[in-house]
Amino acid sequence: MRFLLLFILSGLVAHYFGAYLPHWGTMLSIGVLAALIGGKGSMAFFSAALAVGAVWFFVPLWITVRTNSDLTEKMAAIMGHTDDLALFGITSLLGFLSGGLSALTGNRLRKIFEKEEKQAFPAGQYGRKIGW
Amino acid sequence: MALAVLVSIPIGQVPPLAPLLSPFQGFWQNAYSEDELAVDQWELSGLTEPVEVIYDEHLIPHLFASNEEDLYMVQGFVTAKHRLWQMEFQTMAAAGRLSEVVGIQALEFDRMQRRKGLTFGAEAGLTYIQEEDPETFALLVAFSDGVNHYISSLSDARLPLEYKLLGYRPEAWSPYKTVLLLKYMADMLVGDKDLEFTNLRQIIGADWMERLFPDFPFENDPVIEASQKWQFKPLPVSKPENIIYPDSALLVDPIPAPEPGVGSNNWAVSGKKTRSGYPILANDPHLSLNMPSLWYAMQLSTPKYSVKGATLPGALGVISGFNESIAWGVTNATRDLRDWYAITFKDKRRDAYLYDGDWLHSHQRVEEIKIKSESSFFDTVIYTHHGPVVYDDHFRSNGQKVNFALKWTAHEGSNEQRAFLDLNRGKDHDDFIAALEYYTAPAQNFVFASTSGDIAMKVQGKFPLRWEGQGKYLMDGSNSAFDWQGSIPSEHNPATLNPVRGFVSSANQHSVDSAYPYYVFDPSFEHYRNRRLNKRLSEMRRISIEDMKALQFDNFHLHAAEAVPVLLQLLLAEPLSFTTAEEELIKELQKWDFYTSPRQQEPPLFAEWWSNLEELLWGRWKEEGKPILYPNNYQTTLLLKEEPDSEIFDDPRTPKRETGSYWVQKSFKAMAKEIQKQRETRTLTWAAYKQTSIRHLVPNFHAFGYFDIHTGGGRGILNATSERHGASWRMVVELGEEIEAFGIYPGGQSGNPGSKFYGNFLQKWAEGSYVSFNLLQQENADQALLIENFKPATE
Repeated sequence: MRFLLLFILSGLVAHYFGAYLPHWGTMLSIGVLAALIGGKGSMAFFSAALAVGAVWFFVPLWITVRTNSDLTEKMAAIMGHTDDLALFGITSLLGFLSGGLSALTGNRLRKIFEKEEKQAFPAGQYGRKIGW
Repeated sequence: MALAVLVSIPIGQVPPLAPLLSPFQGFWQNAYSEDELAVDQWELSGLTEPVEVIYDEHLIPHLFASNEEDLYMVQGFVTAKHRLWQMEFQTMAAAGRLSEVVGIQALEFDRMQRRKGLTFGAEAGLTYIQEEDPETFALLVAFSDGVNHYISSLSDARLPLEYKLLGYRPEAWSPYKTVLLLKYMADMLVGDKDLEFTNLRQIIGADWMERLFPDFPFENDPVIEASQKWQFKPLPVSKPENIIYPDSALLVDPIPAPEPGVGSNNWAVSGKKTRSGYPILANDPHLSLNMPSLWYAMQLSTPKYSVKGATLPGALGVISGFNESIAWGVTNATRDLRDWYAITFKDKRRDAYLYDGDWLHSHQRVEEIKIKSESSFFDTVIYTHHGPVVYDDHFRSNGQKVNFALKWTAHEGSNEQRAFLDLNRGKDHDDFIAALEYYTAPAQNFVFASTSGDIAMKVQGKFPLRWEGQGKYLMDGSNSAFDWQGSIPSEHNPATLNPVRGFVSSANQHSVDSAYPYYVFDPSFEHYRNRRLNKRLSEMRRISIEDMKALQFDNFHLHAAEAVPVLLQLLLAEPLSFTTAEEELIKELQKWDFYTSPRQQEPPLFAEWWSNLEELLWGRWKEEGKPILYPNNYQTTLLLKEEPDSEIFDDPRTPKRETGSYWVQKSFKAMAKEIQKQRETRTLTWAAYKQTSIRHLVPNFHAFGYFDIHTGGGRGILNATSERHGASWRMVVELGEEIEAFGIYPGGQSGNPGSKFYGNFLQKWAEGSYVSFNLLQQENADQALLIENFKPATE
């Protein structure tokens, strides 16, 4: 459930905030989302990574199809690649890593605070009681 | 988090990856063309009335404003919208600031720009305009405000691609930058060969210099018709006696000069020679072919006038174009406006230099050159009354203790911008002449035609008053006899109005013939395009616009037509055995019609043969590090024809006595070998051999350029498209009741390599086609690609 929630929210943030915030702003927002949602670190990483990776794959694809521009080929040539498809892959991978690592960072930050809470209220069973 | 930082910052020369690859801010956003990003409404503070901008199908904007300040503010905005990176980059190149954006590899270039004193000249120019012409200054400020409004509205997504790739952002525009850009034109179009001449005179002596580099060629066909009678009393110029030139070998790397054989054409034919009875004017300036294109097409309209044509991104108004009453165009006047002086300093501090027996004070200008990712470089440039000391033991002197100062008209305050603004407003020949009074540099041949039926030409610029021979060689800076003695009054500059022959024309040739009472010299005047052009214009009757378009695209190779018969005669003069393949090449050359269309196979034979021959004939004068120049094609051909056994052809290092025929045969064999080798792998057409390319201003961005363009022409040909140079703009205008105009340039209106308007004119340009450039009426916007409305900001 958390996976799906973070996936959808990260995707929406990447897509809608992407146009208005600088890159670091989007990453920070995803970090905050991951911190709020919590859950396992690996879950947070893959959920946001897949979401941002997908956005960073489909948006360039949509732009290219819509504009019919040959810019991707030109950029691929300038960046030393012969295959323009590689640029879609690299962009998506960069989105994947940015999203994933942002979420992981947010997730870890939450854990730090969670740990501090445990220290303030020690006794393992106490937590269990609340949970119960 | 480390990755987040890593991908967001530049690492060395590599731009930050995430901003570059982001689908929302990065290069992907530059895939949109301008029509897909249309914004209907803009609010600009400072605007007094609404301005409407109607774009036609080619993205050519037509601006309709109520007054000139609004007009130029929106011109600034719209130009920046399509060409911001280019206009800023060109002024950075002019100012010697490229190291700031591309790194240390540009340092040498930047130092040369600073030492030439271009920024010094631009500062003088700006002060001059501020003091002498506050009205023009106000328009420069309005334009600058327009550019800056656009820059401040610029989102990361809309940032031009080159900024994203090079990792920097635009800075504010200013009137200074506009002046600098116009000075940069002087830099691009003016060359001198004083240092090369000085070296060559040492090698071959003064007599041969006079013979190989005469002031006027045998068949002089000047800009102003030779029959012109000069009606003014010339200013006296006294030639000093017993002058001694400094005469040591000059082992400096000279300032790169404009490439020989390229230039521009312009002409106007009177109504009596045209089918319609109206004058027709044509202009095609040839410059380095680059992307984004040098020119940007526009129509600028106020209630008083509508002007249309090619603008120079960063400068106000139209540079080559027409309005409802007149049309004008430019070619380079190719006049030597730079001289060099050897300076004798008192001591190592260089704060005083010798001048007529006294020590004059010099002053210093410390140039800080900022370098990307490195600390600044500081260069101290010494200024004398002649000008800046360009070469000294800190710069390009190859260890010699020399100090050479540059005297150049571009260092002086001037107001070229006003000249173009007044041309834009002009209604008749008087206005044309009055506008040119403001024009100093680079000297141009201004062609003119009007709806009232006049055609005219004026060679305009500020020309130093020189004694015969002055400025050809390096001069003695400590002797006032070598100083310029003032300038030629503008009204004495060569000009003609409605000549009897029914046309005016220029193609960078000599301005005048020897009857002109002032000394005129330049080492790179054209000898072929002018004669071809004047011959055709003399022959033609009932001329149509289509005829004029065809003449701009004329591929006849006059140099080859004159040289090939001479070469073949010398080749076959003495017994020599040829292989079958070589005999075939001779037959091909004998059958050649001397045209250079892209599919023809003969032009490469001649090009290869001639370049081999030139190297064999004159290359032996070259010595390591000692720049020289070769006699031009015309003089070389003439010498081979008239004196094939001349002593100048003998190489004194060999016991044999070489003749012209010997070198012709030797170069033919070398050509045959090379051509056969190249023909083994491909069909060696002229286009394939010539390989015309249009490159991006940043050479590393090769994919933003165009290569192997299928087009004909070449150096010395009216269609002067060579490897890297050619017609950067072609325009033909008929001045009837309704003006009919056509234009084209290699590139497109957009400066964005991702836009469909980036290179959409290129194919048409390469095949000699045009697009309509008729004036648009504001109410006829039915065919508009898009319309933008600019309104005064409500605050």
